[in-house]
Amino acid sequence: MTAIRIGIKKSLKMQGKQIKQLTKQPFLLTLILLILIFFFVFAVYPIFQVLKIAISGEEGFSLSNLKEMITNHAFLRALWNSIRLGIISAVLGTAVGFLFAFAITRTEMRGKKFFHLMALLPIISPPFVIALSMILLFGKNGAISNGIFHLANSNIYGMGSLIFIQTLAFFPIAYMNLRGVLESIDPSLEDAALNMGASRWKVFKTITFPLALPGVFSALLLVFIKSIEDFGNPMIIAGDYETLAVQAYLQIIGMYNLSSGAFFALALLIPAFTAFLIQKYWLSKKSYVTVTGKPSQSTIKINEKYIVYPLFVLCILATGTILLFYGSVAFGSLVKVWGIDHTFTLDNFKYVFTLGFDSIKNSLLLATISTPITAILGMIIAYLIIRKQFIGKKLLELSTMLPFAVPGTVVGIGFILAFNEKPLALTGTAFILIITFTVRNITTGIEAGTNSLRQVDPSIEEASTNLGANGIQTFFKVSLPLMRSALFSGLVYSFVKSMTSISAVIFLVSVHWNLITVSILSQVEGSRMGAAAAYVMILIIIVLIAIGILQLVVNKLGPAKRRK
Amino acid sequence: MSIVEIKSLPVQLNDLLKVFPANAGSEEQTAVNHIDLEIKAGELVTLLGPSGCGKTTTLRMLAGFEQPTDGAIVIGNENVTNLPANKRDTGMVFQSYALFPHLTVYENIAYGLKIKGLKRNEVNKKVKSVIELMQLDELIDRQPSHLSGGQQQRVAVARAVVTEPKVLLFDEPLSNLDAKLRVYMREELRKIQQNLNITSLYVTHDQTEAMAISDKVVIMNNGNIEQVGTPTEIYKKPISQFVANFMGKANFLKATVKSIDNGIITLDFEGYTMHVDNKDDHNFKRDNIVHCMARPEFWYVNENGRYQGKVLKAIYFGSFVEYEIQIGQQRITFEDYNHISNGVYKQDDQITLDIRKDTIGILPYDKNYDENNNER
Ligand SMILES: Nc1ncnc2c1ncn2[C@@H]1O[C@H](COP(=O)(O)OP(=O)(O)OP(=O)(O)O)[C@@H](O)[C@H]1O
Ligand SMILES: [Mg+2]
Repeated sequence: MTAIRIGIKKSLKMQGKQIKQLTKQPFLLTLILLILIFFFVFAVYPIFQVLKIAISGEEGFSLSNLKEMITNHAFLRALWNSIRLGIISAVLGTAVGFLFAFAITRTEMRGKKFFHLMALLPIISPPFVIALSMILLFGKNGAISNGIFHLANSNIYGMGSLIFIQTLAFFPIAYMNLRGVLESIDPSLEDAALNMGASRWKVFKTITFPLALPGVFSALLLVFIKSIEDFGNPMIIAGDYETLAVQAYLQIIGMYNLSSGAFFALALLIPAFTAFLIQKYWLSKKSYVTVTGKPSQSTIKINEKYIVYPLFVLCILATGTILLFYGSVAFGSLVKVWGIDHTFTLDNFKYVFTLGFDSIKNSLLLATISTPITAILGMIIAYLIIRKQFIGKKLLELSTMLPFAVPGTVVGIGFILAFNEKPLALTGTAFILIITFTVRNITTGIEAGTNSLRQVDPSIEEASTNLGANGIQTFFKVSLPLMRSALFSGLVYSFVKSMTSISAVIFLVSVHWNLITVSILSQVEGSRMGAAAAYVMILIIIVLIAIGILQLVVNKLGPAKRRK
Repeated sequence: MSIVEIKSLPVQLNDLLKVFPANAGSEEQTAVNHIDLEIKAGELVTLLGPSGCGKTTTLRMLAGFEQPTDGAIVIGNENVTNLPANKRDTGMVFQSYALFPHLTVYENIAYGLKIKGLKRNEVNKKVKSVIELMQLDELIDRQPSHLSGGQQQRVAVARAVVTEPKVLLFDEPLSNLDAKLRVYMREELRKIQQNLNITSLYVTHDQTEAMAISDKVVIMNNGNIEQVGTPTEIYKKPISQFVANFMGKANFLKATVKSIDNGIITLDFEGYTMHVDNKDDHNFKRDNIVHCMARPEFWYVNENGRYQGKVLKAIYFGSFVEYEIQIGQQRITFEDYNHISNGVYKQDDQITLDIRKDTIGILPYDKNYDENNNER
């Protein structure tokens, strides 16, 4: 009893000490407090609002209301549709992604670099580009449906198309993850099995695949999350296949029914968040893969024809489809009327630059403002998490993760619920869009930052302190340059996402502050495919140029990548 | 030399305590337990002790990286206990060197001067002079990752001394070097330290390194200071079995005090009469059972010697022969460096040994050091 009391007393004393130490560093204390408040206001509070309105409605909590909602036919259908779509897309996307990754990491094959680059294309462009070109290719005036097969009334709207589109749009995510996993499996294990007389198939079945399994599950969950969160593709092509993200949007923007919209959003949040938690906290611990930091010595790559050829065909098919889809958009942006009049013209671009230039300008401006803030704040938070001891650290970690783990639709709805009235009447402003970009995109930077900082010997920073530098000097002169590659990925991710995402911002745009992705969607809805395609092309070019510029800027931070 | 000028100051650790709070899974740790230590101006003092005894923690408290739970740190006349690490004016050489990997050798060395806001040409002058002192001329434009271990070490030292710190701190600076380079570098370090006449605290767990480099050695055990003294004192006259064992091989002979004279203590060791110099720095009484500490190389072969033994084991090491010898009921280790003139004895040979009375130390009897009498 007394022992416990002493223990508590001591731990209180230690907490007291931590606070006391912090008060000695008023700058640090203020910084931490500001960050905590920021994330509380712009991450925790809005999401809490969604929960509150979803459960209690606008009039107050009633069980019968809730029951009515849950048993509502339309709701149950959307829920089932989303989950079914999520599962199918996850399985297909992961399967393609795995084969792609296996082909690139484990076989002797031509064109690996090319395949890799093509797979990046869907990652750096708005996900619904593929839906758009689906219509260009297979729609009523589709180049293939009508042009080749002369189908007068092809109907491509529905689940089948959606599955195809999501598989194509999201397999690169599975590929990127699984590539990392496969690369870090120690090849000497496979060599050992081969050496003991196992066939290639046996090695795959007993060594490679089991070792990659946690990574495969992880990819499944990631694609599942992407699929159920997806707003743009279902919005364009789902037809009467209703999904949660789209329904939540329609309830709010179409019917002004906030509580019902919030309820759909909540239903979306639960599976997405669960999948996220499993992926992050359970699977990541199960991984057998030991990261040694050294790229492992390459083993004898597979070059048996009966393995390489089918994989090669698959890669060609996948990248060929990507090329076809993106090529159609490029082509579509340069012709008069798609499917009818294929004379070359720059009218679409003229149209975009005269009538629709504002949204491009806005997107570019807001992304440019939010990107450095997001990336540097992300590095600062990573630094605090890894290098500083303070109470509320876990809280900070969780709240920075929240807006990333939660679907964009939920964040968007949360922001309208939270910031529609004084004192924080922010909806419709540029500020709220910048904040949305920042909280939604910061997690990747934080994660990259913490990972890279963990590999920096803390005594390097201590050496800087020892030589007289204060915390800020040490951060900017030593830590940040050492986190350079994380900073780069934080910058790129945050810029690309700010330019291309739609699910959260579609709730928050206004007449004054419209964004490029929302413009594209409304062009598609108005069947102005040429203009939509021109927007997409401009968007992709902007993103590519920005990545180039960021690379230059980050290289300025220090000498070219250190050799090991 | 004229450009980097160091003002030597004494350092005092007063009743220093460091308790690490209990953490998830680990208990509260008293890493440093109320120690007092004085380092005179310009002296190099070594903290020596087994792993986990609190050496690094002590050093880090002096640098300001750990806040003492209690006690005070005084440099010169200034109490620096509450001064943040970047205001302490200490120069630290880290075990991992901790060179800034994104800066060149020159930039690494200039870093602290630039932080201090020195003018460019002044920075340049000081860096140049230290570069000369440390013989780094050809390396100034290299990245640290392109240097050998010994070169990195020199850069680390250069970086630490260029800011003219009040105290130089080393945490096992040589442990990443191979054996030969270690010997060379420790001589280098000592030379530079003496040239600059800079007060230094040096942490190691290698006793030969400690002896080679220090003015004073501090033996630590479990957060406590066991003994402070010159290398010779500590080696020859350890005040505990722990210190004796830590500084090298030791025989602990169980003996009984027979008489205490002004000049000499007479003991009974296995029926033999043993004399030991009496310094009156003890409180043993007649008939006390004690441990006589004698290093293996303190014995010597002498036909007219006092102690008759039988060789149990003989191992030839080249520069010496190590014997295990039974004297009465006890076993001792004897290292013979004169085996060329004495000849090598074989197992079961009879041998007659002697030992000088000024080389034996008397310690309170401790049965923990009895079982393994002659083994470390
Ligand atoms: N940050 C810390 N938190 C908790 N306990 C610690 C911390 N740092 C050190 N300790 C504990 O304090 C004790 C002394 O550690 P210290 O690092 O000073 O030992 P050391 O003498 O330098 O050992 P070594 O020779 O292995 O470097 C050890 O028991 C260690 O586990
Ligand atoms: Mg240590």
